This record gives sequence, C-alpha cells and structure tokens, in this order.
Amino acid sequence: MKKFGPAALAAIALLLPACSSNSSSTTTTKAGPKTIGVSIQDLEAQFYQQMEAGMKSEAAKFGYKVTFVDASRDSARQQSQVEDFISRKVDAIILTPYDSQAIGSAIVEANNANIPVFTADIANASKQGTVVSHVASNNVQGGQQAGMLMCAAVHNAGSVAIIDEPEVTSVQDRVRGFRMALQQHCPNVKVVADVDSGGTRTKANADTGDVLQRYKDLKGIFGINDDSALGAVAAIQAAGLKGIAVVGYDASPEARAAIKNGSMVGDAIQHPDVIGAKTIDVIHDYFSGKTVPARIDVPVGTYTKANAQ
Amino acid sequence: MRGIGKSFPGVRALEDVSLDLQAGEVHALVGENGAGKSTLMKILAGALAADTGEIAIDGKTVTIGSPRTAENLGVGMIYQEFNLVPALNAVDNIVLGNEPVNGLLLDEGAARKRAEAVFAELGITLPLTVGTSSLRVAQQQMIEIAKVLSRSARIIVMDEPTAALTNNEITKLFEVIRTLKARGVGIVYISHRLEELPDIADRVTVLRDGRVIETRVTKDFPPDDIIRAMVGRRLESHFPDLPAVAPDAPVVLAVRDLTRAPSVNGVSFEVRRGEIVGLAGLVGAGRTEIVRAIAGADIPEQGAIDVQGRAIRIRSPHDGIAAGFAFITEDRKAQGLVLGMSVRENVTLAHLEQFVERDRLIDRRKEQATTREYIEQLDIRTPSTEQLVRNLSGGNQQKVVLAKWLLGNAKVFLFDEPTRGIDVGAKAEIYNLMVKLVNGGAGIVMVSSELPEVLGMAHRILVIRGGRIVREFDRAQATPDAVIAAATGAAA
Amino acid sequence: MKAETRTYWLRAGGAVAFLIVLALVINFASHGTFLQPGNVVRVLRQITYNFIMGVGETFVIITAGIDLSIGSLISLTGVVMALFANATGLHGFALIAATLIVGLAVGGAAGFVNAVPVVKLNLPPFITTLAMMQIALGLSYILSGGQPVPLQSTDFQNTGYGSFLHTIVPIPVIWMIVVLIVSSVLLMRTRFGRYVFAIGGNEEAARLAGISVGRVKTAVYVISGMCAGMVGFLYMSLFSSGSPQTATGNEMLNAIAAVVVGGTSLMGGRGAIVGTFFGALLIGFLDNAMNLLQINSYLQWVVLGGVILLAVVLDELRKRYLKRA
Repeated sequence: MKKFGPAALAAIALLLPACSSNSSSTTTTKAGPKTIGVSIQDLEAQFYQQMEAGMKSEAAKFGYKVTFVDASRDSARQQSQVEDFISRKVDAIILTPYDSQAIGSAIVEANNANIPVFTADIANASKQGTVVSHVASNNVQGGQQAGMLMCAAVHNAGSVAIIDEPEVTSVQDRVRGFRMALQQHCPNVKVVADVDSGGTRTKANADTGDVLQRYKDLKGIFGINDDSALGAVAAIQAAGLKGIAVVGYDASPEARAAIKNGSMVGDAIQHPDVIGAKTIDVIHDYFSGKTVPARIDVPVGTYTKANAQ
Repeated sequence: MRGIGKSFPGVRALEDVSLDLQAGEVHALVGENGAGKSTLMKILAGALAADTGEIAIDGKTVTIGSPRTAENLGVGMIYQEFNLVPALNAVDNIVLGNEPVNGLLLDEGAARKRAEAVFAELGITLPLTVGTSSLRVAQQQMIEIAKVLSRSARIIVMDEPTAALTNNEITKLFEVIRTLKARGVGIVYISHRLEELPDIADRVTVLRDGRVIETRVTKDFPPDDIIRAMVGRRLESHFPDLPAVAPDAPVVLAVRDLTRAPSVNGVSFEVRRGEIVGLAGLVGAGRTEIVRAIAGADIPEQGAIDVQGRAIRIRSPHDGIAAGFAFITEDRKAQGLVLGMSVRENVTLAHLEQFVERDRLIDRRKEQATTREYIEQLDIRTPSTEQLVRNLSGGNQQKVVLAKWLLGNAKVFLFDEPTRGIDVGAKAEIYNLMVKLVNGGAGIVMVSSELPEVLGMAHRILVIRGGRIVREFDRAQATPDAVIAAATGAAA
Repeated sequence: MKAETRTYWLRAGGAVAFLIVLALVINFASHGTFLQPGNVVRVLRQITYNFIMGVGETFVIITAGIDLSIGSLISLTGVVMALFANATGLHGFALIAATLIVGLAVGGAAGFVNAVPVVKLNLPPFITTLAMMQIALGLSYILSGGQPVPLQSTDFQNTGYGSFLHTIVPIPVIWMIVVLIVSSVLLMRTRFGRYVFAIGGNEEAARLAGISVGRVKTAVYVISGMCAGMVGFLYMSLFSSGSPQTATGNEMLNAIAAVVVGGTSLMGGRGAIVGTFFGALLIGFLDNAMNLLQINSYLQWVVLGGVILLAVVLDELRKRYLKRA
C-alpha cells in the first residue's frame, strides 16, 4: 500500500481542480486549455490511427487537450462515450460514427448540453442532431481518381469488376465516382461484375476467384479498399493469371509494396492525417468565433509505381 | 388387447398377443428381457403402432395413435426411468402440461390443491415445494403415480416399479397400489422380482419370444412354474454351487481403514483368492461408495489398498485397472456403456492396447474376432459385433459390460448390483460366470440389494450401515432375518 | 456387409448423390461454367481453409465440446508467424518449416489454455473458448500494432498459391488431402480416436474404463488450435502477410456449419472427418455457384442459412426413418 500512497495523492490532487471546476462551471469559457473529446469508431484500423496522429499534432499547435476513445465498432459504446464527454463538460466533440444512423441520439444529447459536435470521415446520416461541420475525404472524387487509373491501365477498353462493400456510404461514393470516371474517360470499359465481399481479404479472395471463372476476359479489378484489392491480387496469382490490372483504395503499406512490385497498378489515397488536422483547424476557427462551412472536403490523391520509387 | 402383432426389421416382436385387465385388478406381466413386454406396453401407451390386432377399453374399440390419445383414454405409464423435470417441484411436475390457469397466469393455489388432493387419496405425504431431483427414488415414483392419477388414469402400467426401492419403500408402494385397486384402477405390473408377485398380483401373464405362454391366477402359479414358462425349461436352482475357498488361499485384496466422508468411514476387509464377498445393506448405506473408492472412481481420503500383497496407490479408474480391478457399475447405461457405440467398441474400450498393432492403428479384425468369442461365450444376443449397444436388451447390455471386464484378466472383480433389471435366465448365466471367475482364481466383491442373491452367491457377507461394516456373516450362519436386522440397525 | 457399415455407406452415398445432382443443376444454370475443371479445382482450393478448421472442430465436437476461438487463432498465428518469419534469418524450406512449426505451436498452446479450465474445473468450453476468442484477437492486434505484417520473404508464395502439374493441383489442396487422410486415420483407426468417441458418447463410462478423459480432451483442443494454426499459415502464405483482420468472425461459424452439415452431432459421440469434408464442399459449392449465378449477397446469406437448416433437418428425418423401418 505504502508505495501507492504518493501516486494516489498525486492523482487526487490532479482530480481536485477538475472536480471543482466541474461543479462551478457554466457554459461560459473556463480557465485552462480547451478540451476536445474524440470517439473513433475503430482505433484498430490503421486509417483511424493516422487520423488520430493528425489530430494530435494539430491540437498540440493550439494547446488543446484531446482525449481519444475507441468505440470498437459498437454503437451503444459510442453513445455512452459521448455521454461521458458531456458529463466531463468537454468544449467540443469529434465523432467518426460507427453507425451513421444510430449516432443521431448521441448528437442530440450533446446539442442539448450545448457542446458543439464535429464529424470526421463518416457523416451523421440520421435526421436528428446538429453537426457544426463534417470533414471527410471526397470519396466521389477519390473514386474518380481510381477510375482514371483503371482507364489508363486497361488502355480504355475491356471489362472490369468491382469488389464492393455497398452497405458503407463512403464506399458507395467511391463506386459512384469510379463509374462516373469510366463513363467520362473510357466509355468502352464495362463493369461486368460488382460483388459484395464485405471489405475483407478472405472473402474478396474467394469472390474474385469466382469472378475470374465467369469472366475469362477480365481486364481489371477495382477493390474498394486495400483488403479487397489484395484479396483479389492473391486470387489472380492463385489462378496463375497475369495482366489483370488491380486498383485499390487507401494505399496501405502492403498495397504500396504490391504497387511497387507490379501486382497492383495503383491506389486512390486518402489523407487521414489531413482529415484529422483539418478537423482540429475547423474547431479552432469555431472557438475563435468564425463562421465555419458545414462540409469540408479533403482531396484524395493517387499512388502509383512512380510514387513508390 | 387382442391379437396384437408387431414386427421390427428382422424381428417378430409380438405375435397374436392378447391381454385383458379388469377394473381393480393387478395384472403382472413377466418374461425375460426381449420377450416383448416393453413393446406391448408401448403399443398400449401410443408410443408404437401395432401391425395387427385391436385394443378395447370399456368394451369399445379404440385407436391409440399417440401418447396424448392414450392419456385421454385414461392410460397412464410409469416407466422405469421417470419422466420428471428435476428442477421443478412435485406440484409443478404433477400439473405439467395440464396447468390450471387463471386468465393468462398460472393458478398456483389450484395446482397445489390438486396435488394435495391426489396425495391425500393415496395416503402419503411428500415435500411439495422442493425440486424433485433432491427427492429419493421412491418419492419420485410417488410423484409419477400422482401425476398419472391426476389425469384420471384408470389403467396404469408400472414398469419394474420396485427395481430401485428398499424393502420399506416397497411395502409403502404396495399399500398405495392397494389403494388404487380399491378405487377401481387396473394395473399392469411388469416385474422381474417373482418373489413379490404373490403379495401384489391377482393374475400373472408370462410372455416369451413375443407370445403369451400362460395366464393364471397368482395363487395357482407357483414361482417355479412361472420361471419354467419364462425360460421354457426348468431351472434346477437359482444359484449355482459355490466352490469352497481353499483354507490357505492367499489374500488378493486387502482394504484397510478406507475413508471417504461422509459415506465411507474406516472400512477394512480382505478378499481371498476364489472368494466372493457380498456387501449387504440398505440403499444409501455406503456400499456403492466403498467399491467406487476401491476402484478409483472416487478418490478416498485415507486408507490403504493391497492387491496380492502389494500396496498400490489409486488416484483414478485408470490406476484401478492397472492394479487389476474390474468395476462393473450399478448403472450400466450411465456408467458402464457408451450406448451409441457398437458391441465391439464397448467390449474393447477398456483394453484397447491389446488391439493395437505395431503401426499404432487398431486392428479391427482382431477386435471383431475377440468380440465374437465373447458373444459366443456369454451368449450375448446381438445380430452382429457392429450392432449399437443401445439396441440390445438390458441383460445383453450387462453381458457386454461383463465382456469388457473379462477381457482384462482382472484379479479382483467389483460387482455393483450385477443383476439389477435383468431377467431370470440372464441372471443365472451371470451367476455361473461369477463361479467361473472364482474358479479361475479371481476374488469378487459383490454389492447387492437382493437379499437372496447375497445369501446365495457370497462366501461371506459384510453388512454395511452408515459407511461402516457393522456385521460379518459366514455363508452358513447368514439368515435373511439376521442380515436385515443388522442392515436396519434393529437389535438381532 | 454389416448393418452399421451399410448405413454408413448409404449415408455417404446419399451425400455424394445429392452433391452430384446439385452440381448438375448449378452447372446447367451457369451455362456450363460451374463444372469446368478449373472451377472445380478452385472450389476445392477455396474450401481448404474451412475444411481444415472444421477438422479440428470435428474432434472437439465429437467429445461434446465446442471451440469458438479458432477464427481469432487464425489471426493470432498468422501475425506471430509473419513476425517470426521476418525476424529469423532462415531461408527456403527451413524458413517455411520453422514458420509452420511456430504457427502450430502457438495454435496448440492456445488450445491447451482452452482445455485447462474445461478439464480441471469442468467449465463449459463455450465460455473458455469464447474468452480465448477475445484474448487471441486482442493479442493479434497488440503484436501487429493493428496493421498487417507483410512478409519480407517471397519463399511462401508456393505454399500459398502455387500448384503442381501446371496449375492443375493447387498446393493448398494437397494440404487438404494430407489433413483429410491423417485426421481420418487418427479419428477412426487409433486408440485416441476411439477414446474421443467414447468420451462424447458417455464421459463417465469412458472414465471408468480407465481412459484419461482429461488428457484426451486436452488433446482435442490442442488439435483444434493446431488446425487453426495451419489455416493461419495458409492464409499468411496466400496473402504474403499476417493480418489481425484475417478473422472476421464468420470463419468459426462456417467451420462449425461444415461440421454439423457433415453429420457430426453437437451432442457428441457421433461424427466423421469425411462428413466434414462433404459439409465444407457443400458450403463451398453453394458460395461459388451463387457468385457465378450473380445472386445478391444478402440473398446468399439467406440461402446458406436455409441450406444448413435443411441439411440438419434432412439428416434427422433420415435417422428417424432408418429407426422405424
């Protein structure tokens, strides 16, 4: 017990001012740095880890205290995390909703407590609640980037397949952009198959095999994320085929390696760190009393062999 | 029931069987295992459909298509294995499926009243509100009887109702049966215990090989005649002659101060080569617990066990087998057999090492050959070595258990209720086998609740009460009265 | 032929006949793509993973147990093997063999941990393996830092998606055949296998027959973990990386479905490896066929669930029919 004495005292000492400020605070500005609570749908994902890093470094510039919690792909958990933020009276909340519909009630609670809510990457799709600003990749534009990569890779003709995950809104945007780009830039390229592989590598691998079986003349495959694309690559290799262009999305380290060694032609690349940083920036503007736009698009780029060198 | 016939693939289970039952009569149905008693009763209960013949109740021909119909017609079954829900109490079990309701809710008061009324009629009292699993077998049986009565059964079939009861409990059961008779209920009474028939049955029908051999009024049907009708030949005696134990025979098993509280308290005894030692006592006296502790099925807290003069340490059944024990358990279905496995697989289970080739694979041909030898030697009635044990009759199942243990050349056989629930013919075969074992130099410890069996098949009798040996009898001195007196603690 | 053996072949024959008819119907509907040799071989390759997991699960389920942790163990063993392969200086065959051994050891160790509370404290395996499912998944994320661990060596490509005889026989299928034979012999022809059935049929009778129930039970969970380790190895080789995200939660359910569709009883005491093979084959056939026929993926779930239900119901009806006849 003795050992823990000083530590416990220190902890209490740290807690005390927080408690007193809590009990006395009103909606007016309080002393000390601004606090921001961030609930991220899945901190296991590399994408969100990069977003977290982007937020951290940007928040450090402004001296904000940011608390990150992981909703672990669980809506109920995310809801209670928001409630925790409310009772701790944070100055702003950032959400990447796990379920873009279910998040509404949590946002309403924050609204009622007069705490501004910002969303990053995934928007509030419910009709409830007010979000100050939504910061996300422009996935339609990202899909277009992927589509243009595909056009070039298949020399503007032939059939291609999409390894899809249509229940996700951002993926819907990607696929829309992809199809738009094909139509505009290479109308002779036809999408012959669009299969739902749930965004997982094992399912993408199995489904791609089936697609290859059915469409012997397939020229290209668009994987809506890198797991889908890499699953497709493994299936192509297992079938002993060559010359099928695979385009992915996100440019994870594995995908970069695949692009470098030629088994993939390229990726649309989001910039989660930029999304993170821009979200903090818009909060800073909001705190400074500026009017902020309801939607901030972060452009999506491409990653090809040229970038890999 | 008139002209009932039923065939299973390859078997003619019943052929032209007729049986009548009067109101207020106890009609005993006896026969060896496999004679067709169960099939006949399942037809009456609606669990099986007859191929030929008809059933009439109160003079009206009826079709019993399902157990539910049987129940509505007033036919109640009390199987050997009860159909109680262990976690529910007596009242809930009695009204199960027939719960009185008050609107949407269960009417517990009415249920309780209904149960109490039935028990009052039977003249018995029971704890009504505890889970039936904590009740004794005899009490559970009473609940079964109350359950069928509460559904206004006029025909009750009882399958081996006394198999698991003590003498006191049997007396009580018979009182209840007499009460039922007085109320005009007809009872079909299936039993292997011929000695109890004069006490309780009005008439006796003997079935053999799916046919009615004879129906007679009980007092005109002496046990010897019944047995002859059952087995088709006259049995010289129930019990074979026991060979004398040589005066200088070495001790094969010595147990000293064996203790496993609360059921086994400082038990010491010896068994010599060629000797059968019987453990007598009431149910719950600790006899089964003693043999379980010796065999390693339970681990004793203290005590020493020597086999052939060598101290051994037993921490598991595996050690017990290695030390030379064969433990033939009381409940063959729960403990002795894997019912979903074949005869062959059961016979070889405890000694598979004998059938493993040098490549470590099991030699199935050798297994089959050995199993066939035992099928022949023990006269196990089975179509093949590959028949599932589940499909054999009780006596034949018990023989499979025996074959399993004979395979190991054990030095000491521990028999727990070796003939429970099996027919007279098979019993005699098991007794003969025990004689063969002691002639071959084995020692036997036999737990039995059937007094004649203990008196007839043991060289010495140890009476157990409260987990202790309270009395020891030589075969010559033992009388039924003396053994019972010692077992119940009455002054003798 | 003995009655039991005859029933067995009757069942196996029935299963084969059913699959053949189904295959012909699908082939017709898919304009002949389904039964092209390439496609059939591909389905076989695709079911390898599910089948090998099902093998471990078959052992466990015959003892009347269940192992829910195998999906997570694929992730965990994959990550550990990838980290190991990148860290060691080995090459070629030595690298492949050592990595496989590491995967089998990790899977086996996890199986051992699964078994200890089941054997020593008589806890339900549903709970202990559920806990292991979470633990293994968490560990795989911790060890990998949440990201796939790409293999630096390319030596695994052949074990992952190489083939013999000009792409006719994929290497995973060879693995599958080896596992099928070895596990069938183990289950049907050895003392251990006999004890597995005996414990599932009647644990107390098995114990009183001198069988070390604890050891046999431990062994089945270890086998199950090792099967997961082998699948982890095959996936890692296929994707050239060990990823914590390999397990999505469906793998374990699919494996159990293959076992049950294959006629192994969840109550224990009854089952066969060949049955699990047919179960995995049926599920794989359907997956493939529905993709070829471009059936909507949500409808695919409904069909798959329906087929599992139908298979179990038909098996039960057949049993009742045989009992009556």
